[in-house]
Amino acid sequence: MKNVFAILFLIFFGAVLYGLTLRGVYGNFASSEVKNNLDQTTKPLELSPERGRYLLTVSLAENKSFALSKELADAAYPDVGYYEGRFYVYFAPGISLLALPFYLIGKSYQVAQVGAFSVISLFAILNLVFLFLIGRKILNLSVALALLAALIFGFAASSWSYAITLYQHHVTTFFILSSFYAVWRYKDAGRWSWFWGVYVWFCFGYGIAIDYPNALLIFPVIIYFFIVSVKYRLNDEGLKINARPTFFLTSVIFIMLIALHGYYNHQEFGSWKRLSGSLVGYKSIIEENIIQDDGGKEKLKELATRKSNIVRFFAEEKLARGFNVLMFSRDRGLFLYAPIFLLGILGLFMSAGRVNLELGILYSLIGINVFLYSSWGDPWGGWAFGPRYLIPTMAVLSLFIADFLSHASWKWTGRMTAFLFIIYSSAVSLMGALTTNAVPPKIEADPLGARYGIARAFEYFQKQESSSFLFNHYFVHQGISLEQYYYMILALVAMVFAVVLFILPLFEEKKL
Amino acid sequence: MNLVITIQRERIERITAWGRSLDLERVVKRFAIVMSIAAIIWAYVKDVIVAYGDAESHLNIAKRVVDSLTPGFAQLGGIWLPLPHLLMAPFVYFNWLWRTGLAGSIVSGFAFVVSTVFIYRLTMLFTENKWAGFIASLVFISNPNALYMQATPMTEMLLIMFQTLSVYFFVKFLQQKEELTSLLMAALFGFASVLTRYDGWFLVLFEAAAIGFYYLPNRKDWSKAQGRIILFASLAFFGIFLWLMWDFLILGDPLYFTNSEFSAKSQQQSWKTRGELPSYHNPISAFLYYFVTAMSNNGVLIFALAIVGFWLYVKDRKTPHRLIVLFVLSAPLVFNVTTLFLGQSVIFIPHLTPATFEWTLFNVRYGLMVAPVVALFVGYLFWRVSAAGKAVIVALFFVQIGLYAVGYSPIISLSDGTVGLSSAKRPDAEGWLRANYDGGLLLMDDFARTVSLIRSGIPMSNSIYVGNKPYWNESLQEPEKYARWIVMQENDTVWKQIIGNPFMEGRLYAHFEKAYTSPQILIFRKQDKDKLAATDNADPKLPYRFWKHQCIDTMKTSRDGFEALSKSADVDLLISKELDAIKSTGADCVAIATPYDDEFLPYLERWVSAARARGLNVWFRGNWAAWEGWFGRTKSMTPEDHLAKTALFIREHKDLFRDGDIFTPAPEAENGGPFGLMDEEKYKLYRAFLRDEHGVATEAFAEIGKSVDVNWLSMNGWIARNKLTKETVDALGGIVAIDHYIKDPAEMSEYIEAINAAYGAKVVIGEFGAPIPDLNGDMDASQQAEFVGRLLWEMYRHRQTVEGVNYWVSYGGSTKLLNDDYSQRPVVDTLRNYFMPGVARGRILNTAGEPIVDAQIKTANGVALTFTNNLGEYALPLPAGPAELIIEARGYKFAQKPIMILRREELKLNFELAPERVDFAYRRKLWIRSLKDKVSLLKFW
Repeated sequence: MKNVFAILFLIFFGAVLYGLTLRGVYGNFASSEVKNNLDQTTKPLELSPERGRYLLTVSLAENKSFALSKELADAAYPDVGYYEGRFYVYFAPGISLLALPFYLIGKSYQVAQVGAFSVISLFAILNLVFLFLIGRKILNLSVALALLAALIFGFAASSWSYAITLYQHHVTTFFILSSFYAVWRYKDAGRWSWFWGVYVWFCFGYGIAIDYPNALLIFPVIIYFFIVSVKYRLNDEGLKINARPTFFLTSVIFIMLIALHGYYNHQEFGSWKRLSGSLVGYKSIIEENIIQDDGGKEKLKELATRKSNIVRFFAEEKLARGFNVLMFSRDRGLFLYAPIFLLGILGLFMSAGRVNLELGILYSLIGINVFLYSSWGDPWGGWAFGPRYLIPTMAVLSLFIADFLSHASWKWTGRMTAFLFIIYSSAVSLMGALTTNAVPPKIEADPLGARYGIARAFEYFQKQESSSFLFNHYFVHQGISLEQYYYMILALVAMVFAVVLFILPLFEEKKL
Repeated sequence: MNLVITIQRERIERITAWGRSLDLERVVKRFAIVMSIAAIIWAYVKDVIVAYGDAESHLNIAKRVVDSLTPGFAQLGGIWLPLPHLLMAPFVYFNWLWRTGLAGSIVSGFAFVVSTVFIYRLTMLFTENKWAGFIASLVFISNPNALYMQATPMTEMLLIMFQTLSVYFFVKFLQQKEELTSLLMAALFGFASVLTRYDGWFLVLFEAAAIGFYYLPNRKDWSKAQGRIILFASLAFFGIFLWLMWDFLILGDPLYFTNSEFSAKSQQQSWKTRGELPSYHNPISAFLYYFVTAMSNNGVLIFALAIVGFWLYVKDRKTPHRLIVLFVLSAPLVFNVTTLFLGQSVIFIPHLTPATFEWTLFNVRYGLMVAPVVALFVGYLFWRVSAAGKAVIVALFFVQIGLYAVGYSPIISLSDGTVGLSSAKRPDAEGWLRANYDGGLLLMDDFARTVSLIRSGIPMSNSIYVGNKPYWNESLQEPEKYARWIVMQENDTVWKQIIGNPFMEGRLYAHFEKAYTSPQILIFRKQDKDKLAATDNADPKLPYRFWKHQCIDTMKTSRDGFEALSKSADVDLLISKELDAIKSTGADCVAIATPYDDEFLPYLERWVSAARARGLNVWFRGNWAAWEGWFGRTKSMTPEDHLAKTALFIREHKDLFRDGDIFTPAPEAENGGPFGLMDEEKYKLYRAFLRDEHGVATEAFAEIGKSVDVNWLSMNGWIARNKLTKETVDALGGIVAIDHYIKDPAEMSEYIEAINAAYGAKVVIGEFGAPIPDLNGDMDASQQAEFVGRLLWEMYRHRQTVEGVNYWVSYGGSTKLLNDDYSQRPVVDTLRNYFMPGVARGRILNTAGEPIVDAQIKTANGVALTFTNNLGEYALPLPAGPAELIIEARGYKFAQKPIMILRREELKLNFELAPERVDFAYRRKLWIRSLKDKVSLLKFW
């Protein structure tokens, strides 16, 4: 029962806080209103990832097409590819497809964009729920600590900034956490194990349609799935290997999804293995002034050849610098934006002595995420608030923070330390959530003379420029300033964390 | 319903029994041999065995010990430690093994196999588990960086072998309760490490210190510790002592390896100056650089596993002496971090090095030195973890191989050898030399690695480098003394010695011709003896000329003065005065620039007949007035009109010409007609016009039966250098004529050499003179004479290439030779010195009175030389003025004499050379000669 209440609380609290910070503007705006308006800093389409995905949703809803009209392509510029006279956003279509029903619902209330963005908040709330469930059931954490893990991920990390706009990270995290939980349920070999099997394969298949690197990010869960599907035992007879056919049979769903995605690629881009990200850029076409005569075709061919080297964007030589950017740098460092995760690292090391299959898979989820994006050519994630590529890692590390507090011998000191870190991390995260994700990396900011890191968000905070839909359309008309709004939310967050850290444990069965 | 597979117990037992009985050390050894050979074959096929610049240097050092101009142990030098070269020496003797680099592959490959086996044994010492040993060996064998380095003549793999052996025996000594044989073996291989790379010095120091730590806890054992350390050090440190002594005895400084200009420390200074020594006095950067380099060399996942293994080992309190063992194992890490910190070495790696640095990949192979330790700890980890952990290790091992396969992880030591700063450069010059080298000694600064000896096909015994004494030192003073070829790269020792030094350059060009030119590399080939002698004519007759034609231009009067002069009553007198002065300079021709149009013809004829009367050839350097718009004509002439009128002019005025004249239809044609400012299309037309001019004039003169040179088509020097084509120059008979004024006389040489190199052409200096106010400013008469003297010197120096010269101008203008009253300016005397050379003539005999054949007679500046004939006779034309003659002959002491050459006069000069060694036969000759002298004296009486 406690779990149900805790989950209901998470849903409610998540809905409130994400609702208060959800980005958007009122009205069903036309694509022509995007350029030099809604694509400006603190506006809902300030950066190309959310702009591209949202405009693809618009295209799907309004034109029933994955290909963007010229007008939409111009609005989605620069992350737009070109193929045989048609324009496509560079992103996998999964997020846009998920947002489609929410867009249509929102549209009927004159808030099409807010509706579309709210799908991500929904997934973010589900992530809170799954973190709680994993903490409780798999890591055997107390209700308070499982709640704490979920809340840290939700509201003491820069993941907050990506729970209120149309990015892929929360959906990716959802597929990782929920499929991990599903495998754990499947492991019991209960009546519903086929359902969990189908679900895991679905997450893997659809996850790839959300973001192509998910093929690697979710892969440890598939390994986990395989390991629990195959059991071996040595007895007097010999070695008995027992494989559950569900693993193989349910993989049909994955094959179908991949086939569907391949069909989509074939239909739209002419080859089942060609991805939208490999198309010639609309940007290149404009910059190199390519026109559609024979000379232009040759040039397009040349550009397409150049694009094929995109795989080399992941390289070991970028690892050290990427790791530093993602962990320690002033413009993106995880530990600068949310130092609470230092306790997560401690928890991770402390858990090594108790390592089991599930912990091993959690380690590998972090390992692959960090390894992959440290090796990525742009570890900054373009203009972004915090290390957005590490959002799945933030989720798993949150569990290890709770695990650390659960096993640390200096409980109250640990909790006090955690609380201080949490308040700082929440304050920073809320600052970003209420203002902007359009934070340039240092190497871009310096030549522009712009601020970067947390200071950039603070700059807009001082200017009273907020991206929050509710603040801009309701609270500001009630005479509430952005500072007041910020402190009100922060106080609420701090209070909840204080209760979870210091009050709730008192009610639990002498676990302190 | 589950899928169930059962493997029968008997079968499992059979498999496990087979596994237990497997001699994994033998498996490892065989696998290492197979992989080593496969990697060497791969590297051979891909031509990357000698990809590193250092790789060839190691091969060359070894080769020089056994087969060079001055073979011997001294060729080992004093920088790199000697053992790798000594081990390679028997193999490099065979040219094929030397040139392919396989001589080094044999040594490194052997080291690789031995290292693998001892990594297996070392891991066994740690774990007593053969599968752990197998995994450790497998990690090492499958490391593509190790596989590549073991295929090369580099020294890293050899050091890895000696270090692994030394550490293995040292750990054995610790584990087996002071087993002295092991300690001695550790010392022996420590000794070998010490003589392989400087990393080895750290290892033996660490091992010696480790012995101290081993006995430290028990005070009773302190005297024992002393004995063990002495026992160990007396052998292990002996290598250090030997090397210090070697450097002291051979090179005069026991620390030559670190103090010399060739040392790594000296090389790092240039990086430091540029601010590109990131780890210098920065311990964090030094550690990070080495850490990341080690990670990249071992594979990122394998390295991570090794760190986990290391951590487990550190925490394993049950293992005795583990901290001492760790201390010894840390020697390569500490050595590299320390040398980076001290600025004694540098690593550039793209992972860390800023892209703003000139290079981002250099010396990354140093990271491989910890490969045995990494392999050891992966093996140790494999031993420590559960079955699931073992599965993860194996999985990660394959993932790492996959990362190499997809290109995520580069084979970074190979990349450094092929595209990094460590790579051997392969300039075009190398290919050129390979195709054109035809024997003889080659002088080259080997340290600059200008071209590869092994790739260019030059025998080592034909190379002169800094280690070949006395050949090197003498060749730097007298390049022609031994070398037939000189290869120099900008700012290398040879370049710095010669280029920019007029004396040495003169010497160089007198004996060598430039055979290859690139922006950085020059290759000179010695001219054949006959050709050299021909340069200054074996039997020069007076009056002698250095150039086919030496002319003086009259443009200011024969063209520009037309209006004034042609109407003057004194026209013939004035022309006579000018031509008399020209004749007096020793010029054999006069350039007349009167236009060819009918209107100017009478004036032209006056000039020509006056020239004829003085025995001067004429260079017709006029043009059609409409071509450039002279004398108020419209600049309207087309190339077609020009060609047609020129042909007609020659045919209709055949009496105007005489054999030996020169006719230029359109001097500096680029200034007129349709040309002017030209794009590439216009240049095409221009080149076609040059060819057509030449063709039309040739045909016309053939028709009138006159032998007139028609290919001195002068043009702007820049156009000649940049816009002609070989095809055009060939069509013009291989002559390029330039009207070229320069700021510095050396520029004239640069143009002559560049045009000659670009087209293989001879050069005519169609106009030269000074001062041109815009270029040279104002000059007084003596400055003019001095400057023109330097110009003439440059043209004299290149007299083989320079076909003719034309001083511009005799009268009028800033460069005039004659004052307004026709008195001669000092520059005329300068011209005379070159236009009226004298000749030194005589015989070279030895002190026994015998003629010396092939003795070399040259000026001290080396620019002029000749050889004696069978009678010991020589004749050497020289510009008038003071000179110093040097006479050299093989086996004789040289002679030197200052002389004064007078214009168009012969200087009789005989020399007697004393032999370097007077043997019995020569004494006999001397005795006979003195006898003859006495007899002739008696006869006289």
